[in-house]
Amino acid sequence: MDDLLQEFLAETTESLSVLDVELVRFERDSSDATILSNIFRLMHTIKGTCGFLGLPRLGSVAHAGENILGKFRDGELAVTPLAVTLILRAIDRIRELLAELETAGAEPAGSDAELIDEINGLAAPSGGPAHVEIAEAEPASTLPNIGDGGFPVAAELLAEIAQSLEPVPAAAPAPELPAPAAPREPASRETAKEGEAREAASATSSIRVNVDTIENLMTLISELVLTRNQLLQMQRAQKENDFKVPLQRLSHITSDLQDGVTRMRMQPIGNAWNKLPRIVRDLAVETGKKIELKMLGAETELDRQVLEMIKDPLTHMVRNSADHGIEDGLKRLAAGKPETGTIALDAYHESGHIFIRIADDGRGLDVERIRQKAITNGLATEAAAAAMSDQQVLQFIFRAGFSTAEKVTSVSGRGVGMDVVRTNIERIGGTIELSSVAGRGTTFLIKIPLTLAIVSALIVEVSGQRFAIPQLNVTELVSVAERAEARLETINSTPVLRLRDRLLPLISLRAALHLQPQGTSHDNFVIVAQVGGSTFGIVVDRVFDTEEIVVKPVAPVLRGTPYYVGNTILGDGSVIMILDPNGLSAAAGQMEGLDQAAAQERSALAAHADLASFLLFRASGKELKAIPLELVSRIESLAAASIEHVGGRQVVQYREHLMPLVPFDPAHVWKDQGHQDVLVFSDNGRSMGLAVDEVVDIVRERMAVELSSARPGLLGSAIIAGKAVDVVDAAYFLTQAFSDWFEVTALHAAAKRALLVDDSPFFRNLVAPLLTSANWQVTTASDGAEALKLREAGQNFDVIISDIEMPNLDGLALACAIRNDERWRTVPMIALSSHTEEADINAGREAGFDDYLAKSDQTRLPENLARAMRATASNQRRAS
Amino acid sequence: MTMHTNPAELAESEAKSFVTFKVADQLFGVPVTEVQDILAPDAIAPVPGGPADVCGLINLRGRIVTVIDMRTRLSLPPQDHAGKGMCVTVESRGDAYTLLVDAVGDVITLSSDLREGNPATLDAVWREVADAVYRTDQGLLVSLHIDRLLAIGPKS
Amino acid sequence: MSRNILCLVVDDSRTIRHVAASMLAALGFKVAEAEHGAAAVSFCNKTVPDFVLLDWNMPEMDGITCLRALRAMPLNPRPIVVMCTTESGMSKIQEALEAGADEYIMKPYDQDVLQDKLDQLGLLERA
Repeated sequence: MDDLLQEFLAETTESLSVLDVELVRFERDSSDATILSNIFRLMHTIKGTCGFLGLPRLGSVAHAGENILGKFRDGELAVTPLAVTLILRAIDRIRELLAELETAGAEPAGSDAELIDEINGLAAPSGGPAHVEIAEAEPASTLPNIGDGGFPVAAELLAEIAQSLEPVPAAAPAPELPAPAAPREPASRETAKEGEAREAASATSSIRVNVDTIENLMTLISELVLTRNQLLQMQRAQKENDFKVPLQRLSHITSDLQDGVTRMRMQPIGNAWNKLPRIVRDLAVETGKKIELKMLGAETELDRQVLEMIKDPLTHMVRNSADHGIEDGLKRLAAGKPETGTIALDAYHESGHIFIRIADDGRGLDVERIRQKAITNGLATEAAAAAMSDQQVLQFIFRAGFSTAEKVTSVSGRGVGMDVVRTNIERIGGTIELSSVAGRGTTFLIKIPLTLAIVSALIVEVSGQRFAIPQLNVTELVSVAERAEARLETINSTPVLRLRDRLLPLISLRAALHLQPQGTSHDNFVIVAQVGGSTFGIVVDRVFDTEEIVVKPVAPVLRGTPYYVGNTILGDGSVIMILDPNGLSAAAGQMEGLDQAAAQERSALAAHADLASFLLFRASGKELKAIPLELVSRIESLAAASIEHVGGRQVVQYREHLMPLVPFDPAHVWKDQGHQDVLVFSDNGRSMGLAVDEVVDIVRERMAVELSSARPGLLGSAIIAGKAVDVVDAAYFLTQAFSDWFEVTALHAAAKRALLVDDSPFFRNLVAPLLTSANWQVTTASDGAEALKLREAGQNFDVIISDIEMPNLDGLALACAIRNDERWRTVPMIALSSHTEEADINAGREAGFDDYLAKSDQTRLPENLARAMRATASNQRRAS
Repeated sequence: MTMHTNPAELAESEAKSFVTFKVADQLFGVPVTEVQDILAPDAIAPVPGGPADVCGLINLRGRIVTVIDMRTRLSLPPQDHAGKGMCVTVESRGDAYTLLVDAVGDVITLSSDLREGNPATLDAVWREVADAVYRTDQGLLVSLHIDRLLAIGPKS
Repeated sequence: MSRNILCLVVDDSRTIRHVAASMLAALGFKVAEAEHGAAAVSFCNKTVPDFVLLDWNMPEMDGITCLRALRAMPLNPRPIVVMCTTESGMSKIQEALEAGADEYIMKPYDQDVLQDKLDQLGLLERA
């Protein structure tokens, strides 16, 4: 029986909400018969249901309301504000009685005779009886406490569950008699009937689910997500195994489940709005103003939790508009506005957020009054206030205790200011903006995130304490060297991080939280965060994993602290605070001056078009080393145990063949446990691995190799990320693994020979392997003079690829020299240069080059070369 | 030790039961009906930048509970608890809090005629959070008003 | 005992549907529910109930319109229809009977009243 009462409470509460809204609509347009019949029916149903449940008080009040509505319908009674107000009072009374019913389990003792008499007094002058008796049904015996009524849920999500539920209570177990049920109809008809019964019952497209059930489900799903992540992590550490495929499937299902449950928590924002028409209507009546409330986008859905938190702020703002914003009719007419004021609510989704606009066409905010109030309240000096723009002055209304209302009306109440509204909105990670035009109206724009249930967050540590940063805010994670000067620099005594072509202002998390440094290893990582349009770095000591966390709002006592957007419990049970980059960024201050310097730097860097990607790593020592990324085919982390030591060399089973491993440093000590990071080079079906200590980063930098070095394995150094970094000679290691690495093409009869002329050994070593992998036999020369020496030595080539800027004899001169001599005159020549202005290209062509390619386009070099060659060959044929 | 009058006798006069605890040798009490549980504090996560009265947060069966340092809250001399002390968990306005005190005593029942109202000599902070003062054989017991006790501003 | 008789309860109030369904189930009937006239018609297009308990005031399609629709359909065997009414609806009962209702029952009714009505209609003798 308690199920029944719960259902009654839920159903009736819903009906009352609809009644509120519809009654107000009806009052505005009392000729609308549809609305009236709807209202009548609702009240009638409430009355009827009360009869069945033996609730005489409720039934009497409902009956009185129904009476009036009946008279409206029959045209016997005019629809006056008084009449409507009385019906609204009846609705309120019913609500009160329902509340009592819910907590006490029974109707409270007492009588509503007064109210009912008042209502009936409107009706027939021939005074009817005080109230009508409703036949009493059997009173339910014990009515225990009822919980929350629950809320509707889209059936698509729960279709499967609904099927397994017993939708029709009547079809529930009645003890079957054995054997002779004497089925008159054949069995098939039976099941058909039952099937139809079920179908008819679930014809309604939603079912009600208790709120606690959903919450429990959400918690379970959160646990599932966390466990799924743990499994994925464990599985990643293994190589191929039987768990991979089923785990992937599990992962997809978990994600879908998570999505589904998250969607279950979505509710239309109309639910927060449904009380507003009534509130505005009552306010209008009380103040004698004419106000219309327009609501757009009521079906916009948002998370239940978010809805709960914005309900009150929205109500407050609408109240304010109605009470203080909209002027009375006469004033409006005098101002040339329509007599009826409008408050418009508009809700919509956009880029992962919900926007809610509350606009009124009232008198707008009085900027001067606010300015004065700010001064009298001590929030600003006269001079400062005078200097502020109107927009800045308006922001004062968000300060605590600020209210310029002349009197506190009973309607808006006291003590609930815009500061509370803003706090509530910011608590859920939202923002609120305001604009106002004197005489025309005021508009608030609220922006809030769609859900706040589970987010991905990066766990970091500073001074021994852990914190979470929402992944949404994190654009990058940069490891910063332990050496003080590494990449943390100072400009104008502000610490910055030089990150590729940007300068990033930094905030030390430790300093922001006023913590003491702990241990010897700190400030090792920079979290690059983005807030609004600005990017900055947060310096922390350690970085752990990314975890899915359930965001819980902070306790009220902690809400004043600007750094936190919530707190959570991690998988290991520890409580950690969730940082708000917004709040930290405000603490960083001083972003202004820095951005100018950053802008200048940026434009200087942009002038250099040649950028190449470099892989930065450590091997044999702490200094960073670099290798052009194009040369590296894969980065692997091999299990040390899988490395075999054979005849003084190391090999490992890699993708079905044996791959030799070469250490960077001949004195390298191979681990027998753990993992070995390896850069894999591949060519022509062969691979080798260069063993390194640690892969650090990948950066995109100008190609500016400085010196050539005498050390084997190193080409020289380049400025990468503002620092001199050793550039590795890949070729050296390649030949260490396979002495014939560059000679393999000699076996191919059709192998073409290419002469590569460039004064940069680095570049030669960059291009040569690319050509080799395309089956070219490559010879190199370091400038035009050397190239000509080769000509003297009788060498012949199928193509000459040359740089332009070279000492001794530059490319243009070389080309001329070649074209003016018999021996190589017809050899196709391709220029490779960093200068690709039209003038340069023309000069090259004139000097004799057949084609002109940009140096920065290394990866397309083989195909570009091939294309160039074909073109040249056909040209030559045509020419001869 | 405890002050019990026969519960039957108390039926007439209003009697209240309190969970008692000590902070810096002063005896306090909160109504037993308001206490959710009593536990030894374990792994309190500090909240840097938070108000002084809040020593941190703990995980209580999946719920995040704010730990209030009662010495700070009651303007009593500070003491490094360092694993000592006990926590009394209460609820206020829908949020859970736990009060970090020196030691928790017995549950005692006090009749209303032992009540003394709020003597004017009470410290200003205490007057604000105290509900009443009772005479007991252990000395004066200050009974605390939970909601007022936990009305802590952002920065105290 | 369980009867092989299908009852269709048509009412816009979930609570009332629930109550009626419980009462009918207690008497051994199989019960289906519809929340308004249109849903009832839709149901009857697929399955013919033996008995319909039809409320008057409903959205989409009210009781009397639904009754007329049902009687216009060639439902075989012809279902017994009982209209629900409240005291203010007494005057409409004549209209309902003329439109094809077999009987009427006053809301609120209890188990006994319902049982009596079903007995009068001979539904309790059927197995």
